[in-house]
Amino acid sequence: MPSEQHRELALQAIRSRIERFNAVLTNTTDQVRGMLAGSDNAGDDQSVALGFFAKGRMDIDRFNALVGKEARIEVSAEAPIRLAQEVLTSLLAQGDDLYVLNVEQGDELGRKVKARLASIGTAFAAARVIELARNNRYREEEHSAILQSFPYAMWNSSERALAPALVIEVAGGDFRPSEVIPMLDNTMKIVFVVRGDAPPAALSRVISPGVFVQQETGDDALDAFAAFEGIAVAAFVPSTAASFVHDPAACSIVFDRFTAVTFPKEVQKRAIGSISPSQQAEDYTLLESLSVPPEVEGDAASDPAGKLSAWLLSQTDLSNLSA
Amino acid sequence: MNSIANSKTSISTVSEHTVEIITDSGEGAQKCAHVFGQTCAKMGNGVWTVEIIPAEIEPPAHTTTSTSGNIVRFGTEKITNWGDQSKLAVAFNDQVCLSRHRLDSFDDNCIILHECSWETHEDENVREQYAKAMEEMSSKNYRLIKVPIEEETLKVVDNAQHGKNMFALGLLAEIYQRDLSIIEKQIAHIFRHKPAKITEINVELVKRGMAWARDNLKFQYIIESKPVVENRVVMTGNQAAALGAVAAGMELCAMYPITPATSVSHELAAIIENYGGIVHQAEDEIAAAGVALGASYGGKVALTVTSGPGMALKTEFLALAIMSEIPLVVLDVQRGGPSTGLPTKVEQSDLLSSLYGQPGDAPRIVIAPRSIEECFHSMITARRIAETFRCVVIVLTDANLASGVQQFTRPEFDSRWQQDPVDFSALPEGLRPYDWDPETGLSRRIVPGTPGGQHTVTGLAHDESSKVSYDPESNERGCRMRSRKLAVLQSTLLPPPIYGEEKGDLLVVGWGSTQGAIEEAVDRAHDAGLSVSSCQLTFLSPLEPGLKEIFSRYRKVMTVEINYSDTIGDPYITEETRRYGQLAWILRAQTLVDIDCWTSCPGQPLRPNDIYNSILEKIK
Repeated sequence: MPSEQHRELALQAIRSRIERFNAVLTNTTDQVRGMLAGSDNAGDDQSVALGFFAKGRMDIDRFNALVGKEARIEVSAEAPIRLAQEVLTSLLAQGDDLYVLNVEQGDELGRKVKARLASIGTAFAAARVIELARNNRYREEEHSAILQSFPYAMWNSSERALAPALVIEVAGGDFRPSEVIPMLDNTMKIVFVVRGDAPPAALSRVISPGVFVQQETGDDALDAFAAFEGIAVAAFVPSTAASFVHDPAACSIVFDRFTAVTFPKEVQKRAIGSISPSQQAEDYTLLESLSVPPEVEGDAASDPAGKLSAWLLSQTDLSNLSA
Repeated sequence: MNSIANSKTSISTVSEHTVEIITDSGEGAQKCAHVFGQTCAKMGNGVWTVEIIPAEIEPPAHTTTSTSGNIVRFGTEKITNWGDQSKLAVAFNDQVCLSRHRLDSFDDNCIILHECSWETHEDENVREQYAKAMEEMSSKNYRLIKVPIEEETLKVVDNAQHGKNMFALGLLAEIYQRDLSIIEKQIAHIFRHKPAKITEINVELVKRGMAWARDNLKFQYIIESKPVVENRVVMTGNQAAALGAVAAGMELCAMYPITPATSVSHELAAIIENYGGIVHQAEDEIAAAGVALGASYGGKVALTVTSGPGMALKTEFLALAIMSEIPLVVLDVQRGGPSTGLPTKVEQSDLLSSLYGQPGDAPRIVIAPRSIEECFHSMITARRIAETFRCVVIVLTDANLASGVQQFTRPEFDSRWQQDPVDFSALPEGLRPYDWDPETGLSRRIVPGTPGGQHTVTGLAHDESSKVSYDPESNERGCRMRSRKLAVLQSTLLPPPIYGEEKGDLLVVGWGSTQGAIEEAVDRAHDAGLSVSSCQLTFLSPLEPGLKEIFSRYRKVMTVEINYSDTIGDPYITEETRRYGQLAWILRAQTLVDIDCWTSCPGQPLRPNDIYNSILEKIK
C-alpha cells in the first residue's frame, strides 16, 4: 500500500484528537473575538450578546442605555491579545498539515518532533498571553517569545491532556522511535508512517506497562489504537518487519498484553540507514523476550501468584525467625 | 387478538400520530424511541418525545411499576407537546401495557402490538397474570395484536434483552414507512465506539422487524413531512441547555448529580473541556453552589445545575451571591416535590421557592424557557443579565423539557455571546466595589487582583466600600439598591405577546414548558367558537410589564400550571382558605386581579385535551 494511503489511515486514527484540538483553537479564537468585540463595537452589540431569547422580550435600546460601555480590556492589552489571536488563526489555517510531520531523510527525529510540538504549543502560549494581558500582567520582554515557540517541556498537565496527536512520516533508516519517549506522557498519541526499508522491531523500544504500542505491516485501520485512552504509539512498517499489538488493557501479565504478534520469516543482517544490525537485533530480542510466554517448569511456576511468592521468599531472609 | 398474516395492507394518511414504546426498565425502549424520533425529525416531521421513567432505579421486572419507555408524537406540522392519548403502542409485556392502560394513556382505539410469549409462559402465575391483564383491558376498544418479539429476536441474537428494542423499531419503521438509511446511520452513530458487528446486528434486527410487520400486519400509516429547508438540530432540553451553556461561554459548571438535571452535566462533561471550561462534581449541592460562586467571584463565567431538593440546599450560597452581588446562573430542572418527591416526574413547583425561598430580602431574576430551543438560548441571555445586573439568575426548566426531544433551527454561533465577563480597563480613582448608581442600583464589578480594586467580600450588611456596616441607613440603602435592579430590568422588558385575540372572554396564562399544550387547547377552543386566548410568561421575576392592563381586556383570567392548587368545594376549601397555583399567587398579588387557576400535578405533562376541558369549565 502506498504511504499516502497509510498516511490517510494514520490521520483517521487520530482524527478525533485533531478535531478536539481544532475545536479548542476555534473556541479560543471566538472567545478572543468576543473579548475584542467590546473594544471594537463600543456597546452597540447587546442585541446579539443578549441572545435570541431576548428577542421580542427586551427593549435592546433601553438595555444598552443601562449597560453603557460594555466590558472591555485595557488599550495596552489589545496588542498582545491581537498577536495571540493571529497565532491561533495561523495554527487553524494549517489544517491537517499542522499534525503531519514529514521528517526528511537524515533529519533527527526527536529534534523535529520537539520543534513541531513547540509550534503547536504556541496555541497554549497564546491562551496564557491572553490571560496575562487581560490582567495587565503581560510584559513583552518576558512573555512575547512563547508566541514563537512553546516547547512541550513547558506545557502543564492540562495542556498535555489536550495535546493533539501527530502523524510522522519518516524514512526507515531514521526510524528511532525512542527519541520521542520524552514526549510520551499524559495521553500523547503518535503514528509513524515509515518509508522504505525499516528495522524489524524498532517500536519495541517504546513498550512500557501503560503504553499502547502497535506495529502494523498490513493495511488495517488502527481502531484499537484510536480507541485507547492513554499514551499510544503506532507505526505502519514494511512487511519485512514484525507486527504486534501491545495493549496494556488486555492483561496484567506482560506477554498476554501482546494481542497479535507476527515475526518476520527472515531478518536481514545489514545496517538500515544509521541503524546497525546489532541495534536491530537488540530491538528484535527485546520484543521476543516480552511477547513470547516463558517456558515454565512445575506447577508453582505456571501460577503467577506462585511465581511471585517464590520470588518474594527468595528475597527475604528468614534465618532469624524462631519457631 | 390474533395477528393477521399475509393480508392486503391498508394505508391511511394521517396528520400526526402518538406512539409509545413500553418495556421493563433496562430493555432499551429509550434507545428504540430515540432512534425512531430522530429518524422522524430527520425526515422532516415535527416531533416531541416524552420519557416514561419508573420511579425506582431497579424496579421488579414484569410488574406495573417497572414501566419504562418513551412516547413519540410526530406529525406533518411542528409538534409542541406530547398531545393526548397514544394511537399505537409496542409493549414488551402485559404488565407494562396494563400500567399505561390504568393511566388512561391509550386512545380508545389504540393499536397495541404486544409480546405474545407471556400467554404460553411455563409459569402458571405468569399466564394467569397475562390473562387478567387482557381481561382488565377488554373494556376498551384496543386492537391487541400479538407479536413474537422475543422469538424473532432470538433468531439473530442469543439474548433477547439485547435486541428486542431494535426489532420493535423495525415494526414501527415499517408501519410508518420510515427511511431505513436514516435509521442505519442513527444506529451506527449510537454504536460508533463499538465493533462494527454490533451495528450490523442491530440493523439486522430492524430489518427483521420490518419484514415481520410487512408479512403480518395489514395496516400502515403515512404521515407526510415537509421538506427541510433550514439547518436543524434534534436534541433534548438538557442537551440544549448544556450546549447553550457552552455557547454562552460558561467556563465552569459545578453540580451534584440529581434527577432530572444530571444529564446536563453529562452533556457538558463530554464537551466543555474542548471549549476551555470544566465540569466540577462537588461533594454536595451546597459545595457545588459554593464552587460556582467562587469561580464567578474570580471573574469566570459560572453555572450551577440542580433540581428542587438541590435548590433548597443551595439557598445559603445563593443568599451570599445576592448579598455580595456576584453574578451566578442557576439552572433548576424542576421535578415533583416537596422533599425528594417525584424525582423522575415533571412539576412546576419551584416557582415560589425560586422567587422567595430565602430568609431576608433576596431579590433574584427568574426566567423560564418555553421550549427545548429556548433551553439553549435562555442560557445566553441568563449569563448576560447576571453579569449586567450582578445578580443571581435562575433558569427554570422542567423534566418535560429536560428529557423531551424536539428539532429546531440550528443556532448560528456568535462570538459576542462570549464577551469578556469583566471590564478589565483601569478602575477610576476612588471607585468602590458597591458604588451603586443611585437610580439603577448598578455598579461596576471588580474581580480579585484588579489594581486599585482590592476589597473584602462579605455576606454581612455592608456599605459601598464593602465594609461591614450595621448602621440603619446603610442596610436600607443596600436593600433598596439590590431590589432596584429588578425594577430596572423590568423597564427593559416588553409586554408578553398574546396568542389569539387581544381581548375576549378568557385569557389562559401559563409559564415554561406548558406553552405547546396550552396553545393547542386554545386552538381547539377557538375552533369551537370560544373567545379564548393565551399568554405564556418567560420572565417571572421581574414579571413582564403591562400584565394588569392585558388582564383587564378579558372577562376572566386563569393560569394553567403543573402544580398543586385547592379546589373550592373540597372539604374545608373556601375562597378564604384556597391555595392557588404558584403563578396565580404571584399574579394575584402583583396585579390585584381575581385570577383563577387550573392546575394538575399527576407527574406528567399536561394534555391539551385536559386543558381544553378546563377552559370549557371556566368559560361557562
